[in-house]
Amino acid sequence: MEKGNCHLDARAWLVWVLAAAALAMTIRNPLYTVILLLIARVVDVACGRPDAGLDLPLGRIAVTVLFFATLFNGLFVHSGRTVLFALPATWPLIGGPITVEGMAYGLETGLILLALLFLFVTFNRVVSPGELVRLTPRAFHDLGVVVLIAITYVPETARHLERIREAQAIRGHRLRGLRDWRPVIIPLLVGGLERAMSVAEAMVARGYGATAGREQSPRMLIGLVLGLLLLLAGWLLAFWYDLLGWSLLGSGGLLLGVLLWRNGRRVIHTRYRPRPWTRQDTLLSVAALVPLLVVFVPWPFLAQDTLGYTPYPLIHLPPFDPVIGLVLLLFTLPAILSTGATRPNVEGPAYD
Amino acid sequence: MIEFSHFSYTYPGRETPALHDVSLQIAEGSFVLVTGTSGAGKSTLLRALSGLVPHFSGGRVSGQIRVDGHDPLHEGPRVLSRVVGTVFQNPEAQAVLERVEAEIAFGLENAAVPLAEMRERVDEVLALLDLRPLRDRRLSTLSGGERQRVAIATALALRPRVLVLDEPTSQLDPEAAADLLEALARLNRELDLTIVLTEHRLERVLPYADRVVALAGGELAAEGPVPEILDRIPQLPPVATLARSLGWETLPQTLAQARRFLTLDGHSTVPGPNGSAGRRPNGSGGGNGHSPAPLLHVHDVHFAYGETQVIRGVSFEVHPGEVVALMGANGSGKTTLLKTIVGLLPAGRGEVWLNGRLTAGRDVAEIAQEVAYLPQTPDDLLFADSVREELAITLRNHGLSPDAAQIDPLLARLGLSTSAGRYPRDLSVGQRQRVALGAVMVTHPSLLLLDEPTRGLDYAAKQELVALWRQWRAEGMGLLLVTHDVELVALVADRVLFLEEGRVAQAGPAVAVFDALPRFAPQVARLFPGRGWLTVEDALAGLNVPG
Repeated sequence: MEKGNCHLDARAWLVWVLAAAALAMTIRNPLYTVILLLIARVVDVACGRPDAGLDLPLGRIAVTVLFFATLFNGLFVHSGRTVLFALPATWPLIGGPITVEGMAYGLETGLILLALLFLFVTFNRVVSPGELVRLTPRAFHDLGVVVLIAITYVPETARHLERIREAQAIRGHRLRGLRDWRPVIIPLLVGGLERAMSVAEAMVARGYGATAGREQSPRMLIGLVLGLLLLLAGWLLAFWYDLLGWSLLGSGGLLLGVLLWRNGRRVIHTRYRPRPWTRQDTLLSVAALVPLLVVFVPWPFLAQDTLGYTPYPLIHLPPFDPVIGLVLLLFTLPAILSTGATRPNVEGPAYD
Repeated sequence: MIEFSHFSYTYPGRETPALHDVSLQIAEGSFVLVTGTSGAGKSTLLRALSGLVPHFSGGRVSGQIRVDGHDPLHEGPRVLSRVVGTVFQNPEAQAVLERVEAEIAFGLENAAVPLAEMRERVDEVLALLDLRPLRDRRLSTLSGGERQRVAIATALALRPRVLVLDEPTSQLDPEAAADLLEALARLNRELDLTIVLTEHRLERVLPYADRVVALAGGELAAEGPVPEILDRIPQLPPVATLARSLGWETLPQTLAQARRFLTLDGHSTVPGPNGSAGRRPNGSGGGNGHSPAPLLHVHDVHFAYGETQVIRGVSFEVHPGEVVALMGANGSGKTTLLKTIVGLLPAGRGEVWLNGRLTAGRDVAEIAQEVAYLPQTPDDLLFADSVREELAITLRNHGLSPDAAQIDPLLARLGLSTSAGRYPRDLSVGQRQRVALGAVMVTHPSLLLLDEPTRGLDYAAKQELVALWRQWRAEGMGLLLVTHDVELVALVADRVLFLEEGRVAQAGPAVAVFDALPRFAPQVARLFPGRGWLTVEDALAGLNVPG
């Protein structure tokens, strides 16, 4: 049975990451942001697939992002009362007082970026590409498979590149300028094309696309485009003509939904070892939505003004509401579930 | 089961047909070997069975094909995928998904097989091909032989009546190849599955086949049950060639048959006196072994990829005028060792001496002037607009002048003079292999390293290479050859090194090493154990028959 993932459904994970990311983007309070950031790391450690192959130097990235975010905001924004020193006002853009507040605001932005990055890194490490592709609607089954092949294709191409580089090196080839890439690029492209052809051939030989009664009708395509246009036009109009805009938006969305559903019904394929939706999955989805409700609904007992913190005009400690802090901790639920002995009794491996 | 009637096919943009007026019938439950040189139309014939030709490839067809009541030419590969399972040459280029079980289920999902039946079928093929312990593994962690078994399982999951395989063992070591063929023979027996496969190394497959289809230049040259057809096939495995030279009436298909015939013929097959008398050294200068200065001296070399030890203390020498074969199962470290010698990988411990100089600290390009290295996929080398330019580029890379005096004699030797101006990728596999050889040999190195140089080559192309190597050896070059092809080793090697898990498990004259490793030995050595014979010529000389 595959390690990692904490035996949760990819859809539940999607709710988790979207809810947490929505909060990370809307909350501007470094204390809450740091909590989200730490949660992302804890869940990654507890649930990340050991063979996820996404080993980014997170520490280095964190230091770099924070450093540059602080530096840039400090250099370009000259508001704030706590002046460290001043650059000559004649220097374009960066000339003027350099303030602690400017740097603090930059640091805060950097933290938000990092929290988002860490959340998505964790999501990628807990959900395999295969599971992700299964999230695509049935109408996009073909597209999903193509994406899946592309994902397996990338490491293969990297290995091929290395082989060619070696082959050229033993001919005395040295990579110096852009022109020197020709001996590498040409075999890579030709070889890649040949491999693409053989994968395609192997797929056809295995009956890919053998599904019955699936003539991709032009009407379907026209419908899709129309739906998208309605959606876009409605969204734009909604800025001026509320009712008209929203009704266009709604009908566009409805049209798209119906088309995808109908087309999905026509794509006949079965799924090997579908993973059953478990109570844990429900628990995680609900738990991930609770913080959204708490934060965005104006409850009387919450200090919602702690959600937006700004260091201007004079730096001060960010405010903190322990209830919000506690509610955010709900996002650690996957890690908590992983320690519990109650594991869903999934028949067979849950890789899908 | 299978019937071709007057089938012809021409690839798009070609003038001459790839197959011309082929008519043949194959009964259910046959094990058919399709033979012929490169370009004879073997792959085309297989692809026509599954409808890939012409539906995937385009082109023009005429004539008729029936497979189990279906018409592949009209119904196409999608329908035929339920009738004909296909396995291709390269296991890497046919996998779609990450894990064994998912990969097998992929075709079933597309065929909308209900879940319960899907489980049943996946379990069934996993059992049939002994893949149960591997069901959760990632494909990238499997060996070549295991991956080919997965490819077969994938095809069988759709319960085809015919299994078609295009050179399925060409990338496997002798043991893995034998295992795979055993598995196919079992499927053929137990499921009455019709098997059609192509392979250049006849000695591997012929023992299992009951019918041969021989193609030449796109036409059917001969076809029929193996015993009747053997004497009409131009290139035969060593035992049959030997029997033909001995003038036997029936040519043996397997070693066991050959042994029986040999006893009937009055020849003794008991191990002869263990004399090396029977074996003349390969070529003129080979095997003297007491040359004072080795071209290559590898001393206690180690190498690890991260934590995994791949080479664990290998030592050997290659002398001028010597061909050394480096053998061993897939993953035993052969290619890694070659890369360590040319400096592409740094030896973790130990030393490599080339012409009396240490290679440590020297540039790969500098080492490459003294030792040529032909990697496994020669296509990785080729990118220039012409064959001549391909050689000239190597010279320019090394800061040498690309003059005709350097290039033309080599092209002539490689048999490429007439194609010097052609685009290398338009040439045949054998010719491309020789262009790549030219590109690494143009600096006149004293040592040549070859990694699986005969993979995918037909008999004629192989012969041309062997002749070339023999010339170079006679001129005092050293050759180090990594290969799975035992019959090739029997033909050219003076000494054999056998690697096992990164260590030299056996080393010595070819005869001695093959005596110690009968599973890897050539047919003649297994037919006459202990005589010191490896090739048909050895045996004929030993039996005092004029060859």
